[in-house]
Amino acid sequence: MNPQSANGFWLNDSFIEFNGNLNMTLLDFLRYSQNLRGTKIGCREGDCGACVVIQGKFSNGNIKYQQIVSCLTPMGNVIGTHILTIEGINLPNQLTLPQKSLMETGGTQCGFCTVGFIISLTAYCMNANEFNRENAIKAIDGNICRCTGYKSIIRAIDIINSKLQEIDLNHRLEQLVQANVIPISVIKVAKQMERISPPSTNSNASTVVGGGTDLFVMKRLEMLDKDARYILPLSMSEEKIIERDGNIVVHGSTTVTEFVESPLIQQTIPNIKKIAKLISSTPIRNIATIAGNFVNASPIGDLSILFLALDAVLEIKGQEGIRQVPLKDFFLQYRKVDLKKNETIQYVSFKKKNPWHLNFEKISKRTHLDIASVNSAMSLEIEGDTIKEIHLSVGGVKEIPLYLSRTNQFLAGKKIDQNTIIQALEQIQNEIKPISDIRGNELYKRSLASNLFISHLMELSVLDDKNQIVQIIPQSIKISEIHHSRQANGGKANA
Amino acid sequence: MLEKLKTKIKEIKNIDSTGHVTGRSMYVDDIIERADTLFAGVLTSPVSKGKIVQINVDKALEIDGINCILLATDIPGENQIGGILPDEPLLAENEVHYMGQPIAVLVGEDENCIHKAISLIDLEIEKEIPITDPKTAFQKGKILLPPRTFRLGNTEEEFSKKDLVIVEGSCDIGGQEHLYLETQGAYAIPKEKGIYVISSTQSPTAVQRTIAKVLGWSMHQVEVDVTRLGGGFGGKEDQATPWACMAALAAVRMNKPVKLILDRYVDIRSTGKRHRYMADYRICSTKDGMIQAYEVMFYQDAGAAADLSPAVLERTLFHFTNAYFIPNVTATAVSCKTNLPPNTAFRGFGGPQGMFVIEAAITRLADKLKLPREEVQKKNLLKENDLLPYGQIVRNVKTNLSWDTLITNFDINKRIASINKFNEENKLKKKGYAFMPICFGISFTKTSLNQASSLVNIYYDGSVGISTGAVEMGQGVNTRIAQVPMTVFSLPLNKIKIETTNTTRIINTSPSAASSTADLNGKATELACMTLKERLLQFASELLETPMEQLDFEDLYVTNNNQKTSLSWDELISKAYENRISLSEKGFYATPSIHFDSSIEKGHPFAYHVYGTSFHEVTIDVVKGTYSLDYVAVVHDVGKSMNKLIDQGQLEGGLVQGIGWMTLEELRYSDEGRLLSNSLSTYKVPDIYSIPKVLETMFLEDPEPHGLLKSKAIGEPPLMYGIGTYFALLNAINQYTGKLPNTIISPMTPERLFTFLHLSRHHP
Ligand SMILES: Cc1cc2nc3c(=O)[nH]c(=O)nc-3n(C[C@H](O)[C@H](O)[C@H](O)COP(=O)(O)OP(=O)(O)OC[C@H]3O[C@@H](n4cnc5c(N)ncnc54)[C@H](O)[C@@H]3O)c2cc1C
Ligand code: FES
Ligand code: FES
Repeated sequence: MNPQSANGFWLNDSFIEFNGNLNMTLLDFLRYSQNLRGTKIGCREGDCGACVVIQGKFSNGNIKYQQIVSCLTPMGNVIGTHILTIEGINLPNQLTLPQKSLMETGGTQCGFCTVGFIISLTAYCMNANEFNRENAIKAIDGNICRCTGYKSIIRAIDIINSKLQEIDLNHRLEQLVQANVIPISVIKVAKQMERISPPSTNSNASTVVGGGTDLFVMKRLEMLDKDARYILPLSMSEEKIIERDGNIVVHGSTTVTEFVESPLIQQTIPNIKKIAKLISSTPIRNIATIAGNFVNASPIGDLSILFLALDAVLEIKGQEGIRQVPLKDFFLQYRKVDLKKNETIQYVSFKKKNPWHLNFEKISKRTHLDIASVNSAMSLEIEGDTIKEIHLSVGGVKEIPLYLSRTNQFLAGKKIDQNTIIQALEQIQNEIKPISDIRGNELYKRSLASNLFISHLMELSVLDDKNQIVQIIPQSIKISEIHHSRQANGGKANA
Repeated sequence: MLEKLKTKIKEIKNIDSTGHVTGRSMYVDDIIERADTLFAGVLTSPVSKGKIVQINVDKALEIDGINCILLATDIPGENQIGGILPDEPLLAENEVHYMGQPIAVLVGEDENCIHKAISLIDLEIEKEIPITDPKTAFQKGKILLPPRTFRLGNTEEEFSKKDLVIVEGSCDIGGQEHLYLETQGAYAIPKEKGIYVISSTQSPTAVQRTIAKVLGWSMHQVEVDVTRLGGGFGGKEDQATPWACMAALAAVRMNKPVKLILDRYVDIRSTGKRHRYMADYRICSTKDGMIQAYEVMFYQDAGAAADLSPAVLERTLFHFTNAYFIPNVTATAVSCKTNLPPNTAFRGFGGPQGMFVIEAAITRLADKLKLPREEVQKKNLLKENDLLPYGQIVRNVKTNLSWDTLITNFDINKRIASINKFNEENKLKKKGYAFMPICFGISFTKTSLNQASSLVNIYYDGSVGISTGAVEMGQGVNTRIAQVPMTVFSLPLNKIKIETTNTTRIINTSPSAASSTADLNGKATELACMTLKERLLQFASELLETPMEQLDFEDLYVTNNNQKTSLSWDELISKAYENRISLSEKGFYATPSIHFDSSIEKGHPFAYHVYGTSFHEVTIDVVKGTYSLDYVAVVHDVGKSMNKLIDQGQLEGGLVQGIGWMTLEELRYSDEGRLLSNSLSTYKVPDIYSIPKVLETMFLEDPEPHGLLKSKAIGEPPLMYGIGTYFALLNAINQYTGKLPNTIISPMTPERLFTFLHLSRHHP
């Protein structure tokens, strides 16, 4: 049975009733049901940004507008929201400020990516808490252009920013209409919008859909026949991140963006923004959920690795009630997690520290919007010169996101000196078992796992002596090489 | 003939940009389908090499909505799409030669039923062992054509001399996926007298000719129309053709319109790329770095069929000495046949690989000489009247000029000093830098392609429509062409329309390629406009009773000795019509004085050369093996720029694409020939964070008589600056390790950088 709904949503300036298959992607609906072909298809896997549209959603009583990839967004996540495509952004007789600026600087060549850039830049105008180059570039971090080399687009950004300095953020939409960024119809719809009840989907359906950024990649057509349950709209009215009994409790359906923008999170993990910038891209982060990352169980899942270092615990809800599972026990085998049919991750919680002393490293071919070869996180609490508490995790070196239990155990209570570090490197090498694949060969991943540990120590200012590090690096490599040969010879790495 | 040409060129923004920013520009898939349109999908080979034992489509045909499934045996004409060599079937017959090779075309009512039907086709293939690298192919005698050799002087004699420093080495240069953002596609609509095909192609005529061949028709029955491409970069020069043929085949079979748009996975898997090259070289110089001789052997990975590979190979031979003069050279190159998709044109067309190897050779030579690399480069730069290995004498050379301008204009020596200081002070981070000069020849190396036509129509309301063989794919060619009538007739842009590229209006077109599109088609347009101008001024002189020599156009009026007359453009045109004066003109241009004799490998193949020099600075992190691109400066030769904004865009876009090729963009295949980096999540092109943090550019302006309105072509050359970033990274690695690898492998991904830094024992 396909999920049906008599619901609808706002598309540009009008309300659309939608009774079709909720698992259809928004992109297909726009292009082929509505014949709105300004929105382009570049990849259908969230990696190019040609398909981005703006979604307006209730958030704390206001409507928050942000860019999302339409190729991975199912209609089930569209119901009750406001979707703006380029057709709904265009002004009747003139170009908008982003459009004019991009044209002025030659920021469009073949034009195929251009609508995506205009949409992302418009979303930036509707969303940024400050108009500066850094924020604007972040807004287009999910947009690929193969023609321009981006410099002209950055010049367009500078023009846009120079024109927006006077905007009063308290009356943003009105002022953006004045500034020719959006048409007046956006405000009209925003005023009309009321809470639409979420689509009624089968609560026993086997497939839970979060943001859809894993489920719909390369499986768009298969998804049409799936019985799916949409959980995002249901949680729109709840406060998603709260503090309870000294813990931070995060709802499973919290998006990466919501997580990063939460003042509570910024307080306890001050470098969260820097970390999140390395995870996917803005239009993905705006929809991808935290629970989705855990359940996807990719061995290099960035959020899994991050939350392992936060020593997080999951609260899982099923028909038999609620159970708690530490995240480090959640991952069983390759892409297999401790989650039964019909169970959902309700919450994930971790200790509130003031603040977490935490570092996250991710090595990928491309620094941004790429999947890691190896990623690693480490949190550390030091008393005097000994380690009181440590949580080190590494991804991409085993079939699951790996919490290095033995290394952590070994390090707890130790004094940090060269000797301890070398022994820890041995421990790390014992615990990991990478394989060669498209993200890198085995020895590379081995060496990275060790070197990232050293990077953590440097970043967390535990190791400041540069000369000491210069000496440790070749040793670190040598240890990796020894373990590499053991693995190659089929010998036990523990031997 | 009228010689007078305005010197004041009207500069405009890209004429397509309003459509682009508002989403109103149409690409093939944006055309709203006629209601009876069917869709097509392609079954491709799941193995790299093998014999087709059987194909059974019965079960697939039972799927609701499927109309027909076409196999090689359903092709009414010739099952052959090869351009240079007839070695490539449209649909595989009996054998498959690469993974992703089209085998069957499925036609149905929507993509969903096609998707289901594809998995139900029963395909049995007897697997054979594929070849996936060019050297192995060469050793097994799998070559397309006999090797070609370009020679100057006598290398053997030179290498046997005493007191010379000799370095030998190898390169393995990775290929590159075009990743045009718009995938391949076509929409074919049967017409009363043939077929009308809208295709995303750089070569409308090749599409037309091949469709005719496949259908067993004549060319005049096939009309191909191109509005624009969402990027091409060479990837749609030859390789747009098969998909258009399949759509046409299906449309004729069903007598209904058929749309075929590739999804990204099929596109990446099935289409060819920039060629991987392997190369072995030896180079020698005097102790102070004067290069005396250079020998090189290039093994090109052509893939499973010729496509454009022999032509690409030729350009490698035209550019293997880059911007240097070397008195004794021997370069041999061979196209090797592997079981990968047929590789094809890509911005630079074999030139970049040729340049990479000489840069690698000079890098290792300088290291051995203990001289700064740039000193050796600078000493050997081409000078005025130097002889290139293929017999052309270079004129108006701008190697030293661009180099010196770069140094002074951007204060490069100060930069180098601070880089050196940084490296003394830091052990865990290292900086590297490199210069990259370029010299790139402009013209199709196949002389016959250097021709173009233009049709200039002036409607009797004074508006102008222009058709040429040029295809707009973002390079701004339509804008440049529009600037021609704007300049000749002094008209505003709103009076001018650049029509779609259409094989019925403009016939026998050359592909939009070789950076020459604007030169050729623009010059043809200029000729037509000048003829019309002469005719119109002649008529105006009769109307105004004034000698023609005093007349001209200015801002929609006829002027007399630069004074505005009462005769407006619109009035003149309408009167000309009343007086039965032709307002339509065809222009034809063939580049003069170029020739090349491949039996002796000598001639004068290029109308002119484009020069420039770039400087690249990078920082690497020794612990993590990551890097940042800190700074690039470029001084580039543009002739007399006719559109600075477009030139700037081509320079920056080409540079970044070249940097992508040299750093991130890695094509990885399994031993079975399966492309592992087969999607945007595994094949990484530059995003906004991967470009140089600071980029400074400067144009050298000097009018070029063979270029359009005295400008120089700019499509391809800037890509090759990207090579400099690779050598800057290598320089930084050398700062830490104190040695260079014998085999220089690209691209420099973080993994390769880490390997060079720490693990080179394991991967020599
Ligand atoms: C372009 C792109 C870039 C990406 N980059 C990164 C990256 O840099 N780092 C990274 O780690 N990941 C990345 N991802 C992967 C993906 O975005 C994340 O894993 C994301 O967190 C998944 O969340 P989602 O809500 O979209 O998952 P969905 O696709 O909705 O669901 C994924 C799985 O989780 C299940 N699920 C979802 N919510 C729940 C719940 N509450 N309870 C139980 N089961 C649930 C679903 O049933 C499904 O099995 C990227 C993906 C794309 C498309
Ligand atoms: S189509 Fe590429 S991100 Fe959606
Ligand atoms: S303008 Fe062509 S992809 Fe951006």
